[in-house]
Amino acid sequence: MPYRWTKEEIEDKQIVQSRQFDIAYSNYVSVINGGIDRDNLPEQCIDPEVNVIPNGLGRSNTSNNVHNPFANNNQDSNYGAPFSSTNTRGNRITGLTYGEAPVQEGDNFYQVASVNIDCEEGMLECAWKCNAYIPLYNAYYKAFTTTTLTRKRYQWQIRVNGIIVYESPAICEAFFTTNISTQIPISKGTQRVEVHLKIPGRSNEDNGMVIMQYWGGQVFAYNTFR
Amino acid sequence: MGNVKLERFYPKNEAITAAKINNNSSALEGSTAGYNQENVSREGIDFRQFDKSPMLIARNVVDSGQELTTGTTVGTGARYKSYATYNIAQQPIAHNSTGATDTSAGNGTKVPLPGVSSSVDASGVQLTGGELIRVNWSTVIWQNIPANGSLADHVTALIDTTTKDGGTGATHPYGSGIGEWCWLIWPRFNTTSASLLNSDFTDAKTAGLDPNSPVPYFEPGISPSITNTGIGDFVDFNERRWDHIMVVPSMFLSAANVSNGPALQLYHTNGVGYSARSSPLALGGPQLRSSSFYIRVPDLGGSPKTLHGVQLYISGYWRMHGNSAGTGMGGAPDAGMFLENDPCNPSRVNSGGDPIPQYGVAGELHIERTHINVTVHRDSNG
Repeated sequence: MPYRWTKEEIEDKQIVQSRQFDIAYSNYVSVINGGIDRDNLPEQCIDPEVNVIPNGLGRSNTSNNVHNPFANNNQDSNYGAPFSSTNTRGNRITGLTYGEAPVQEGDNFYQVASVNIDCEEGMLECAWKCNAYIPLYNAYYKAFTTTTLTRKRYQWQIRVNGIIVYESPAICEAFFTTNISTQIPISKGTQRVEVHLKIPGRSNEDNGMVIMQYWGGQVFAYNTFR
Repeated sequence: MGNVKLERFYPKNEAITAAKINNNSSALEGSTAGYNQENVSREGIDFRQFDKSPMLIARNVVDSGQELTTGTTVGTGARYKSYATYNIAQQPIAHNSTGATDTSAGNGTKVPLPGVSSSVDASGVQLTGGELIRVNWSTVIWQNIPANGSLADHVTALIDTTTKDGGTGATHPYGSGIGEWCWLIWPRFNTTSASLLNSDFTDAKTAGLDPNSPVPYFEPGISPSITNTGIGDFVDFNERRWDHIMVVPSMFLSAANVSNGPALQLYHTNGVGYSARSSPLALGGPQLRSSSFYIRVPDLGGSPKTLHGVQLYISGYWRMHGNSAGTGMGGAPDAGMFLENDPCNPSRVNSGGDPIPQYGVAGELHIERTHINVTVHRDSNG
């Protein structure tokens, strides 16, 4: 709203109808009551530490310390069971395997984490950070052999209210920290950010081979208001 | 301030007194002192009406600046050592552009906050609650150097088809696994002093930035009640916070050369102790690793904290382990990691000549550049 002229000029020694005052004042009142804008306020007149209410410009939420639920941890049949608990020379490897929930035969995205955020109209930043481990044995063919091959890789997907907003490439390193984010326009209301994981479809490996383990995940959602 | 309400003279339109007019004028005048969102139109102002950023409280960046050409080796301060052999559970990443150790603010990965008056201004950012702390970092991993230069003693040389099950006749029964080790890099926080002493950096919960975290933050080597070293002290993924941790792999695995160099791949083309340039061990160049961490500071209940700085730390080698019963923290079955405390020395013997082999892993991680960016957002913790 730009600067507004009064419509009624009341002159000296003038007898006026009192309603003329209503009209004169109404011009001010209509501005004061919700009509003040950038044309009425000087530059740098607002101190955000003092004049902006908490969460007046943005709002965030996180889901922390996401890891593969221990109920989904299966011992690797090759590197899992033989070693004693106190053996310092070898480890048990546990993680997601084929033939067990939630991977089963693979090749499907399933949810691993989510966070809800009460949004105002504006932008929504969605980020996912997570550590993951792939035991790489049988990940490559040994030349001129019939060694079993396992397709060990994974992909992450970020969805907002069920809509895919980001999908990572396939990752196949032994240890890797995924760090992905995107930003989308968002409407007012409670929005749900989900992270999904895909393990490739089973090739010819047995059920007992650990395909992947993940831990140290954090979902981050940040709504900046319009 | 709410809406201004004036006495209307219509429809009576009667003769009025000066007092009524003055009352209305006073109402208008009084309103000017307390404008709020009810007075300002939606989307009615621009950034120019704010006297400072409405979203940011502070932001600062530190870049170590070390840039090398391939075939060269990082400075001695950029060579970070493992716990096995070197007995270092964790240490700050603190090398400067020449690869020398530099613990001063604004060097290495030591980020002073707010960094307003100068890039080394560590007077601090006061946090009362509701703020959002965002830490992003990246490192260029230059080389992975085994502590023992003899290829036969590299843990990955122990991997063959008979080793994996630790079966009868294996060359190295119960040999080290299949590369399930990595380095860890993570941020620590200083709410103690503008001096930014290394001894004042700690995890986010201990620093008071995330007091409501349901479990302590994982701190390699110094977590409460455990020492984190060796497989008996492995740390569960659910009983400590791991989401501030970034992992750095130590190797790639290839089955193509199981007889002479099966797995431990240096990132760089310049080998140490042998010619990796012509070896199957040489795979890939230096690698950039990046991660992030977010802290939503809760209401601190009138006891504000002052965040003076953030710094990255490193620890290695860490290994995977799945518990069945009796070890680690909490009940079984679960999963976690432990800090390797043995080097790799399969031919070790005691004074009597009896074999006492070790199947751990020890070495150095060489880091070239590091970059860390800390941003503190205003009141975004809704």
